[in-house]
Amino acid sequence: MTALLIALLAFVGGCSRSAYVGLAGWDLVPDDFRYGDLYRLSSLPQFKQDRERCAPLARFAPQPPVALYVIGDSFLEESRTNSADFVAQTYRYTHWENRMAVQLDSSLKNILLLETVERHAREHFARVADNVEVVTQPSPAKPEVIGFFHDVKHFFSGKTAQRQQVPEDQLENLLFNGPVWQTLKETKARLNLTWFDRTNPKVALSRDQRHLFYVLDTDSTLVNSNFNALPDDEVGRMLDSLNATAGRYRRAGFDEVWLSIIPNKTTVVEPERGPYNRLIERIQEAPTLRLSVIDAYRVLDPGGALFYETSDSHWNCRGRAEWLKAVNDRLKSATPQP
Amino acid sequence: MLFNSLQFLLFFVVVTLAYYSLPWRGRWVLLLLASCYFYMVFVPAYILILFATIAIDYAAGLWIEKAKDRNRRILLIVSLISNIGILAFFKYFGFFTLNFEALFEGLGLPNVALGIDNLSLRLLNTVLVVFGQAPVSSFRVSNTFLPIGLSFHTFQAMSYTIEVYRGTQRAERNFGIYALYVMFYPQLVAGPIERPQNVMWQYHSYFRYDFENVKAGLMQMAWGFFKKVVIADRLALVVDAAYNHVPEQNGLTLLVATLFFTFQIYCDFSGYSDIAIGAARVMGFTLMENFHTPYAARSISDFWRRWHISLSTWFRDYLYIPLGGNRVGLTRQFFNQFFVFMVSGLWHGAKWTFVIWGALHGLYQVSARIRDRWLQRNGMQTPEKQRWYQALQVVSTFGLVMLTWVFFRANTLRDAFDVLTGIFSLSWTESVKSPLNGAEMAFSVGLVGMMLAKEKVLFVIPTRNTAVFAGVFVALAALCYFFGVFTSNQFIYFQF
Repeated sequence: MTALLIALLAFVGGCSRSAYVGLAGWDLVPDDFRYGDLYRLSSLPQFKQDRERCAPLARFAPQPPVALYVIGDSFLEESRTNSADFVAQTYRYTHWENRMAVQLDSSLKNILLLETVERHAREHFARVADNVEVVTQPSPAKPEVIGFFHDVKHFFSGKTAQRQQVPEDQLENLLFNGPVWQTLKETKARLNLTWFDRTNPKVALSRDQRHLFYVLDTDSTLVNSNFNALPDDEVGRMLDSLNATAGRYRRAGFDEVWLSIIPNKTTVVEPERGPYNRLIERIQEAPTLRLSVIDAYRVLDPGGALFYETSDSHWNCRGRAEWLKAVNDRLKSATPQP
Repeated sequence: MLFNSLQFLLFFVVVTLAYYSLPWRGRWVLLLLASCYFYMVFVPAYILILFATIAIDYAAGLWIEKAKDRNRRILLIVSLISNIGILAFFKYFGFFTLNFEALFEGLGLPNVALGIDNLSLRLLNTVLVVFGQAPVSSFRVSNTFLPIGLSFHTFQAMSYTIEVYRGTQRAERNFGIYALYVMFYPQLVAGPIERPQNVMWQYHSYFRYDFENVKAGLMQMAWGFFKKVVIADRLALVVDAAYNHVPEQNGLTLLVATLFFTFQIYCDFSGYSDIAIGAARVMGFTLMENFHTPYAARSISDFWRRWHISLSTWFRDYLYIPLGGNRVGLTRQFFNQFFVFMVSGLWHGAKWTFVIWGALHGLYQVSARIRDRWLQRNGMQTPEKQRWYQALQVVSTFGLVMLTWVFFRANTLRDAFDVLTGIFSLSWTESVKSPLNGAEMAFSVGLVGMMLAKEKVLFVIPTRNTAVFAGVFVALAALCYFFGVFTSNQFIYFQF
């Protein structure tokens, strides 16, 4: 009976979102990204590194009368950046997959920043963004709904991946992420790489085997890759969407709309891997683009691998600091003159 | 849920522990609920189709048993038509639509073809939307919308009503037990296709915990997982790279890929069957064996006594024999045999490649019988007892079967013919293009050799000695962990 209860608890904990979140609240669920997203996939010990905790950059800086609203991705998620990093009186962030209602303060300069990593730029700029909704009355953020009935509803109405892949990932993290299992995973990864020259199919090694990338970035047959051909007409459509987004939000009350495309790690570390499609350059330097650009490529390329985590596809504290400096310098210069 | 997943492993542990914790009367309820959950992880709404067929056949079984004379036959026909109708709609509707369109376009009636396409799409999309599935824009994008396991549990349900009709099986009174007969989770999505005489009584029985059964079941599961994740999914890397880009491959690569596929499909499907049979055995249930060293067969008919045994015996008992079996004239026998194999090919998938695969096996069978009759008429005998001749039979049977797998695996007919052209015009100076390096290719070949040797020497791994059982089980589990290829490959036969 005890064995049954333990097995049932593990099964429910892995398959139910609310149970998993509950267990995480009791610190029973390890952080499977603690050594980086690329290490999490590959388990290659030579790329194991604790993720850096970066110091806030603007906590004590003077806050100009600027409000910064961001539609961004994991580079700017809560665990990596927050309001203490920006010289702005107001800072709000939403992910490309979520929505955010904002009430603009006309006494501040309201700036909307569209931030995306290069690999997702094509999908994010394929349509006019509408993640931010300008409202006249503030509404409280809706917390994620969890609970047994929500789980049941999701089971019946959700996609197959929610019933198969999500529980699989949760179970893997819940049961097989302790130190002993980490060692076994690393042994397995090392054996397969040494004997069979093979890693997890979602990651790719650089030619000198010193860097780890997402295969999304390196496989030229995938649309996300910086070596996948990018036709001119698609660039044109992306520019149209960006301009339409900027127009929409200027009409809604924003003073400026900015754009920043963070280069893939491959772009700055191993650009000679294949015929680079120059997405960043073709968008940012297009004469028809009507957004201001924070040129992340110019900021991060000089440092190359030094600005990116060893075990992760994201920037490290140094790279992040360089980009934040560029954004904060622009925020200061955007301050309205008296 | 997929067998090769953590979710299934934990599900199996929970269900088995709960099974042995419950009193007898609660057990079939637990298994039925667990099977419902197992099925709904794929697409929950499709369970309604399953329940519909269960309800129809449950009622049909009771009425057939009570009815007399002609009414029994009518009820059987209604039950069979409803089962085949549901299967035909989800599996073959798109295939037949596309072929009728091609026919009318060929006859110079494109408007008729377009009309058929529009009407069929509208009908299909109406049904898909009812089940919460996204509508499709064209049959050319996808022409099969198959609820998982439909081909398997439909045949299992049909065998029930046929056996009740024949009087060899009593109609099941308990709706839940009948539902469990159709839905028993180890065999629900890819067989073995059971007979009611084999299993129905087991669902009424009380099985005490038996440590020997548990060991035997777990060992069979471990061996099945090993064949699937270490051998089959590794070979799949080479096969997929070649067969998904046929024009870019040389003949030697295509030959190696075809050879690898021959073992991939065996390890994949027999691995699944071992997991299913082993999981059932742990709880005390005995399911039929589905494979018995098929590549040791000395003739095509011998091969079909060893490969997917539950399906081949189903076709023999419910199609070939009712068509006359061996009781009709020779020409009619040959026709029936060829026809049954073509239908078997179509059962595997709504594509001409599968039909040709089946037809080739039918042709092989008929040709072998014609040859045997000729030898007999001319008083000639083959040296059956000579070892060299037996080896020749095994190798030639293997070669003939391997060639049919080209059609089974190829994405299109064109690809299949290109593969055969490539193989028969290969040059031994070519080099094999493979995503695996030399060491892994050699490892793969070694694994296949080890698997064949094991099956020749030790068909069933002994488990009496608990220490030996533990050692072998842990070794297999470790090999699965360290050398398993976990790229979310579902089992090949799940698509049927």
